Amino acid sequence: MLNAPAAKVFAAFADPALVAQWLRPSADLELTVLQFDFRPGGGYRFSYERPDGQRTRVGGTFKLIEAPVQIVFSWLIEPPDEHAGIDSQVSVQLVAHASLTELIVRHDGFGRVDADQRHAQGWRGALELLQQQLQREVSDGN
Amino acid sequence: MIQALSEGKTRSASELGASFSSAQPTISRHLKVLENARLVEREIDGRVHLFRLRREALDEASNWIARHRAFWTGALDQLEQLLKVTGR
Repeated sequence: MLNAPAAKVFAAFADPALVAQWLRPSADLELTVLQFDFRPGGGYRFSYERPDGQRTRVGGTFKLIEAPVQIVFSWLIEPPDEHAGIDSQVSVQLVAHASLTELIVRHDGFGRVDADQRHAQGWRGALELLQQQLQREVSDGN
Repeated sequence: MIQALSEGKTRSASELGASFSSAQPTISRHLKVLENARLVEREIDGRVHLFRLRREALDEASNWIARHRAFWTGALDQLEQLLKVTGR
């Protein structure tokens, strides 16, 4: 639950200058927004730079934008990363509770798009299995 | 089923069946699904079908999940900070 109205939380996803300030796993990584075309079908591309200079690039397409309640975009890490080519999708939902906003982020992986089908199936199967296990852990309250 | 195979040993369909209360056809069907998903590998030794867990398929997915879970946990903490700093 975030202590801000939904319009403001939505703006943090929609404005590249704001996105650059938070959409990273830690403040140690510098996020440079290389491309940000915030409309359905528009693309984005981020570059994450670690303190040691190592870079990771991530890109995708905005699939669905519905202000201020929903954003869906694809998420693909670029080579030479170990997880490059794994096709995934992020869905963000904003639920307004008076002046607070509940944020629900779901990130689903679908397997590799650049590997052969058998590998993709194995990966997807493993992912589904792990997600089930994680959901079970969460519902068990662990 | 995955749990039963996770010690790394190959096990036959009937050994696996003995660990569960399900009927053998159900076990076979379940193994077939796991095999199609490339989570297990089947080795046929005469009339005995042996199954082995493909740990590498689980490991890669597990790494991906851990990485992205850490990514979003960190990012949402930073979003919270940003919203605090910029006021309401």
